[in-house]
Amino acid sequence: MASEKKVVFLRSSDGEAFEVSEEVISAASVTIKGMIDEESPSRADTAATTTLAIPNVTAATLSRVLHYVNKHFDAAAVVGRPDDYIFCAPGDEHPLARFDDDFVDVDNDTLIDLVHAAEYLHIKKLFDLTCKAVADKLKGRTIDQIRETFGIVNDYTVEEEVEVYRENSWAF
Amino acid sequence: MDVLLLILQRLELPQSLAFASVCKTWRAAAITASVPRSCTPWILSWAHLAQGERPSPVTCNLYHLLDGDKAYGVSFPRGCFNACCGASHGWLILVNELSNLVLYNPFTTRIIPLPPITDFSCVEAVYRSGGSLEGYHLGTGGRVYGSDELGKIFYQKAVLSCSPSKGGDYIVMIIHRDSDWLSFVKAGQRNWQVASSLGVSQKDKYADCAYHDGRFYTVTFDGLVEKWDIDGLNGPTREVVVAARCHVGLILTRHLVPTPWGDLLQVRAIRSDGSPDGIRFQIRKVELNGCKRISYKDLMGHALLLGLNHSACLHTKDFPGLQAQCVYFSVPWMVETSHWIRRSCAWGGVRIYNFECKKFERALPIRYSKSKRFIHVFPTEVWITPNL
Repeated sequence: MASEKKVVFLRSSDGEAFEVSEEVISAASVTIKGMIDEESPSRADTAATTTLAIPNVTAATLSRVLHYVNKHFDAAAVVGRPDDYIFCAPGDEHPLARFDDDFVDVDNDTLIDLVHAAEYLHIKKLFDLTCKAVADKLKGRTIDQIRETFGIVNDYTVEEEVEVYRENSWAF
Repeated sequence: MDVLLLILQRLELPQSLAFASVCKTWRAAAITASVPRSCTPWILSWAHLAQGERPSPVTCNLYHLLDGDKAYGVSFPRGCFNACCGASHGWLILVNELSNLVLYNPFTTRIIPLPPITDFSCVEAVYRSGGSLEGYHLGTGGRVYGSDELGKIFYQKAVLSCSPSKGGDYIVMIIHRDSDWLSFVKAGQRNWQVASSLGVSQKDKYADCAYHDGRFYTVTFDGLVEKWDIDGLNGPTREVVVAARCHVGLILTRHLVPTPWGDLLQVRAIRSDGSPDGIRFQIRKVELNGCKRISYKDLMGHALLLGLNHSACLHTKDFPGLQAQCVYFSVPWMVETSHWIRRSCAWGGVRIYNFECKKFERALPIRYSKSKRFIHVFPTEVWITPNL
C-alpha cells in the first residue's frame, strides 16, 4: 500500500508535462481515469510515474484545466461535497462560484478551447460551466454581433440569407 | 457539432433563434435540436407569477402551439416586467415596477422606455419624507397606490403602429384609465398625448385598437368604430366609421382585425346559451356605411389571433400548427370589464374557438390552477405574432 499520494504526468499537445494527483484527476476526468485504468496492470510492479499524452489540448489550456480540477476536485481543498454548489440556489454564494466566474472570464478563443478540452477530457462540471459561459456571451446579441464575437463567416448564399431574414424580420 | 448542441440547450429561446441564423453549421445544429422557427406565433406566459412571490428578475415562459409542453425561458431585465399590456410586431409593451410603460423586444433584449405615468395630468407622484417615491395619487382620490400597483389598473391595452426595430416611426396607442381614455406617443416624443376621454357619464368603453392602412381604428363595447387622424394641425381628430348600436345580449369583447387582403374586420364574442361553452364569436367587415356580417368561411384559410396583442390574421399555410377559420384567443385586457366573465369558466387562459363546431377550448393545458380567479379574469398570456 502506497502511503504517499500517487501522481501522474499529463503531456500537452505541445510537449509540456504537468503533474497532477492521480486521485484528483481520476475524480475529475472520465477520459484520464480510463487511461490510468488501462495502464495500471503494467504499473503495479514499477515505481515509475506514468506520463499520459493529451494530444488534443495545448499547454496553455491544460494548465487552466488543471487549475480548475485542483480547485474543484481536490477533496482537501474543497469545502463540503464538491458537487454541492450545483444545487445552491442562485444568490447563495458558494465558495467556488466566484472562482468559476473568474475562470470563464476569458477571451472567446480561450473559452472555446476550454469547452473542447472539457469535452475531450470528459470533465462534466467544467463542460457545463464553459458551455454556459458561451451561452451567456450570446445573450442579447444580434446575429451580426454573434458572428463578430465568434469570428464566424456568414456562409449563406444570397437566397438563403433572404430566407433567413424573412423568417426573422419581424423579431429582429 | 455536439458542442453546438450542448450550448444550444443552455440558451433561452430568443438567443436560440439568433443562434439558428448565424451560419449554415449553426443552423443545422438548431434544426437537429428542433429549435422552432421564429416565424410562428408564440405564447408568452406569466401564469406562474400570478400567484405567490415574484422573483426578480422575472422569467416568463414562451410556448409554441405545436408543442405546448415545451417551455422556453425568457428573462426580463430587473424591474422591467411587472405586467404586460400588449404585444405588436414581436415587441412587448410592459408595465415596469414604477408603473411606467416600456417597449421590450424579447428577441434582441432591446428596451425603449416610454414617457412616465406621471406625465398624465390625472396621476401625481407621492413622495415619502425622505424623498423616495411612495406611490401615486390617481385623480382627486385620496388613496395612494403603490408605485408598482397603479400600472396594473391604469392601463388596459397598448398597441404599436409598426416595429421600432429598424428605426421605424412607430406610434404607441394605449387604452387606459377605466378604458375611457385613448392616448398615444410617437417615437422619440417625451409626452403622452390624450386623444380622447369618453367621460364618466357615458357607459361605453374602448374595447380594442388596431393599426390599419396607415391609421389607428378603435372600437367600443357598444360597437362604435372610429378612425383616428393623430397628425391633425389642431390635435387628433376622429371620424365615425360605424355608429354605436344597442345590442341585445351581452357583448363580452370586440376586436378589430386588419387582414392581409386589406379589409378591417370586427370580431366580437357574445354570450350565447345555445353554444357548447356559452360563448359565440361573430365576424363583421367594417365598411364606410356600417358593418357587414360575413361568414367564417370568408377567412379563406386564415386564423385570427386575438388578445392583449395587436390582433393578427395569419394564413395557416405560412404558419405551421395554426388551424384555419379558428380564433386563437387569450384574455384581452388588463382590467376586467364584465361580471359575467368573472363567473364563467369558459374564459381565461389560452383558447381556440372553432367556428364550425362553436367550441371554445383550451389550447394550452392549465399548469397553475391554484388561483382560479386570476387565471379567469386577468391576462396571464399574450400572443407574440408577426403582424403582416
